[in-house]
Formats: sequence, structure tokens, C-alpha cells
Amino acid sequence: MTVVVCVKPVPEPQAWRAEPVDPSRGTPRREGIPLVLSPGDRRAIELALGLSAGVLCLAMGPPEAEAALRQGLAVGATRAVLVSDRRFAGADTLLTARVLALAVGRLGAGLVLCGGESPDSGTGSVPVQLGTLLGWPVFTAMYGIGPVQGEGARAGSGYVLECRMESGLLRMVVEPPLVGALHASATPLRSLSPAGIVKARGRPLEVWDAATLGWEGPAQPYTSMLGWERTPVVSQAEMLPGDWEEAARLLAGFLRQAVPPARGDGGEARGA
Amino acid sequence: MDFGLSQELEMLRQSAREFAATRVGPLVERMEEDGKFPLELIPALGEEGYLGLTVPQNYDGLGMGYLARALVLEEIARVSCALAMALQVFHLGIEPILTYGSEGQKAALLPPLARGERLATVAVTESGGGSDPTAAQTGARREGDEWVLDGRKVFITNSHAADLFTVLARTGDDPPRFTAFLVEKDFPGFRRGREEHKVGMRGCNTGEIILDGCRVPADHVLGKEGDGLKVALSAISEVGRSGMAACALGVLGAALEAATEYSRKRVLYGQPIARLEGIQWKLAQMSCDLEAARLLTYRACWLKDQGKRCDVEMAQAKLFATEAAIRGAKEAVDVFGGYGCMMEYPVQRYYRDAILLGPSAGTSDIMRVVIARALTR
Repeated sequence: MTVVVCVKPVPEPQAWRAEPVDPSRGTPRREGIPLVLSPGDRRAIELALGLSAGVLCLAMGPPEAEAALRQGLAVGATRAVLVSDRRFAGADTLLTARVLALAVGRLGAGLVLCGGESPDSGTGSVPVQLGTLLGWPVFTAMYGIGPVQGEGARAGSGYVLECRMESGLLRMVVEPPLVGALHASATPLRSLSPAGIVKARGRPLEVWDAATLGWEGPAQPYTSMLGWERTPVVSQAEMLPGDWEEAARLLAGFLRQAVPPARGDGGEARGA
Repeated sequence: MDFGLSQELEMLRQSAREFAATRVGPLVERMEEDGKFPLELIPALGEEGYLGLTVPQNYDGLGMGYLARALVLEEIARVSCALAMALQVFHLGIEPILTYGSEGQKAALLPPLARGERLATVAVTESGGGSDPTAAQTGARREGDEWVLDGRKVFITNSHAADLFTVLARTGDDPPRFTAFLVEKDFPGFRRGREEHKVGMRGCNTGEIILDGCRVPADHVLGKEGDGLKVALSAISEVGRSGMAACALGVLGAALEAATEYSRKRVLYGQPIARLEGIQWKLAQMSCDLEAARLLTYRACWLKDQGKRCDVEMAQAKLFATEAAIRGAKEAVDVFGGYGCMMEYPVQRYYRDAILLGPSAGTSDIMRVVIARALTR
């Protein structure tokens, strides 16, 4: 059984973080920055490799996205498919999900894993939209997945899923088909290594266009982006004057003001 | 003319960047404090292929070549020049076996070296001088099926981490003849001497090896008897110098990045110092130096990968890149002002590391001699 891992080629974080917004369009900047595999997607590949020796990386993107898929192959995926067509340029999450759903249908897969939120736009909505379009259940915050063990009715066909909730770890048995979106802390990343890169040289990477998927006519995104702003990080520094005793007194006063003592702890009676 | 790297080399660069950030970075502080090489990294360096980058695949290496190696060293040196230096000298230790080893020596030694199960280095320098290897006093005399080596090698990188040494020894005096020997750490008469306490590249071990009647089997001669200078110096000239140049690229890149970042944040006269012309000139010069050093280094390594002669190009790359790194690291310290001299900021480490880039694998003056001889012959 082949597990499909939907991956998103994202701008290389080191190059991207310095100037993430295209000022002329107010959208995330992507031009001129190498595309790499999102760390969450690498976690998804790692989980998939624990389930099956056949792991297929699927992505939609421009031709340059091939580099990210090659990284998927270098960290263990056995095959990759890039859906690339000018008609899909400027796709939003729902159009992306529609394209991926067609590709998953063509691949005949029953288990799709996604990496959760990507580090660039990070809406985390594609896995949910993909599952809805496929008519499959979607499990978010997935932390682990393994085959059902033992002799029960679901042994051999079902999966034990672990989802990390705020209150704890939820464990359940499910039957495929299903879409799983990973929690950010699921499974450590497998290293991208020179040995992995060389091993992946012969692994197949196919490029499909709209016609391969039987897509006819134009492809319109369902939403249009008005702008994208970074949440400002405000940092402020203040030099405390005087000798160390005076500075310590001022610091204690500042901390008292910023974090009032809990009632009854007697903090107000203590000296600085 | 295509200046772009292949998709595979870009991916390799990213893999080294990740390795440096996640595996090497957390060790830097400890390496600075105790000066010890982090031996615990060796299994990962072996399994992930970093030690076998230049070893052909039929000997369990990756056969990715010397440009690939330079990219890896540059990325690791951005985080730790010491670790990159140690790694480049492990590669250097493999090179004479790769080039001059018999089929039996290659089959026996290269696979465990590529996998990181064994570590090799080269031992040429003696206290009488590194720039003139013909002054070497370590001698070897033949006794039956063995050679007996006596002498002391100094400033040997990885002296206390490696277990296999390509040792240059004098095997004749009139005219002087030198032979290269493969000496293993458990041979009778072999021992390690002092470890040096260096100003920079802390965590990359440098020290002495002592050969006190060290008995070496005759089949451990590397290359032909009398070809020792060629065996040792060709590896140093092409692999050692490209390794030093790549380490310099990493240091210079890190210094430029730190200085640029700091200049954006540091406010003087009511504005970030990045807006001051004096600071801009420093950054611009460092940036030009980095690009020029990259072009020289990558081209020299590309020539090596093509199997073309590259000794002069390697000397040009080593000379320019290491001197640019020393200048650039000093400029970065200046951009940081007083903070540049504080141990809390990394630029002081870049400067201390850069100083050590000069003498290793041939001083700048020796590089000038190599280049000038080629121009005037």
C-alpha cells in the first residue's frame, strides 16, 4: 500500500525570514528564493515510512518545486509527483485542494498525510479541504499512526491514530480512507543527508499537468488576497541608572508593577 | 558559462546547513571551553556520508566530488570553523590512499574511513618547519619486512582523533629521498604527544605524534618508495588548500551575516549604523571578498572534479579566501565596536578562527611562491 504525503514547497526559511513580504503586492515573497520541503511535511514522510515502504510525495507548484520533491525523495520517499500547470498559478488553498484531490484519486491512494501548517502562510486548511472534497474523514493534530495489532476485526486494515489535543493525547482506531494533518511536534525530522541525496538519485519523479488530471477549462482561485502583514514584535530596552543596589531596587519595582504579587503572599511587605 | 549549482548540490548545501545548525551548533560553546574535538559526532558524520564525500561509491563513499565537499565545509564553517577544519583534514587523510594506494590498501582502508569507523590524517610538519617539508628529520630504515620510523611530527590536525596517519619520513640522504608510510595508532613505537592550546578553532584537535622506533610493515608504504613528497604534497596542495579555502568562506560568510544583522539593529546618532557610510563600506568590501573567494574556490574545486590540473588555482583560492576571511572577521569585530571584543558575541571567535586559516596547508607567502613560480616558469 502506498501512502501519499502531500507536501508544500516553501521558501527557504533563512532566505525568506529576512524579507517575507513582497511590498508591491502585500503577499508572501517567493520570487528568487529556493523552494524547500516544509519541516512539517518531512515529519509526515517520516510517519508514512513507519507504515509503508512505498511513500509517494505529492505537490502542486511551479516547476522549481521539483527541488522540494527531490528533498522528499532524499529523506526516504520512494516516488514523487509534481502537478504543475500555468493554469494553477496563484492558486489559493481551495483550488490547491481540488487539484490534489484529483491527483489522489488518480493515484488510487487510501491514506493521505499532510504536514499541518506550513511555515510561510500556514493556514492549515488544505488537509481539511482535501478530505472534504474526497469525502474522507480528516484527523488534525495527528501525532502518531500505526497499524492495528492483534487478531481483532480491524487488525490488518485499520490504523491506531494518536492526536495531540490541548488536554492530552487522544488515541483511536480508524479505517481508511482518511486524511491526517500532523501536529507540529509529531515525530522528529529525519536528517537530509548526503547519503540520502545520493540514494534518491534513481527514484522516479513525474510531472503532471492539468490535462493529466482531466482538468478542463480555467482554474480560478476562490479567494483573493488583500494583503499580508507580519505581526509586529515590539521590543523595548531601558538602562537602569545608579549603582547595583539602586538598579536592583528599580528592577524589583518594575517587576512588581509588571507582575503584581498574588494575594496573601506577603510580597508587599518584603523589601527590595 | 553557467554559474548555478545543480539541484543536487543545492540540496547538499541545505543538508550541511541543517547538520551544522542542529548537530554542530549546540556543541560550539563546549568546544570553545574545553578545546576538545566532539568525537560523539563521528557516527553521524559517517552514517550521513560527510566523511565519505570524495570516496567513490565502490568503496562505500558517495563519490560526490570536491565542489560538493567545499559546499559542505563552507556551511559547517559558518557555524563552527573548528569542526569544518577537523572534517576537511579527515578528508585530507583519505586523499593519499585514494590517489596512491594499492588496490589492496584501498579495499582495506577506504570503506571503514568513508563510514567513519576509522579516521585518517596526514603527518608531514616537523618543528624544523612546515613550509619546507624537505627539512623533515623523521627517518625510516628498513629492517627485514618492516620499516622502523623515528621522529616527531608537530601541529598535526586530528592527531588525537585519527587512528591512521600518512607519515612522511626520510629514507635516503644523498640525494634526500622521502617515502610516505601508513602508520596505525596501535603500531609498536607509536604514541601521541602534547595537544596544542590554540587561540582559535578550539575543538579541532592539533598535536604531536611521536615515532619512537615505530615498526611499520613493508606493505604499509604508500605509493612508491622515494615518492613521499609527491604523495603528501599533492594531497595537501589540492585537497588541503581547497578545504582551507572552503573553511574561510564559512568564516567570512558568518562574519558578514553577523555584522550586517548587528548594523541594522545598533543605533548611533539616532539611526541604525547600517546607514553610516563607514559601516556600509566595510560590509560592501566583505561582500565583494566573499563572492570573489567563492568563485575562486568553486572553480578550483570544479577543475579538480574534472580531473584537470589545479595546483595554482587551489593556491590562488587558498590565498585569497583565507586572507579575505582574516580581513573580514576583523572588520566584523570593528562593526560591533566594544561588543566585538566580548566573548558573548561570536565575531571574536570568527576572528580567532580566521587567524588559524593562514598557516594551515601552506602560508600565504608559500601560496604566493606557488602562483609566482607558475607565472614565471
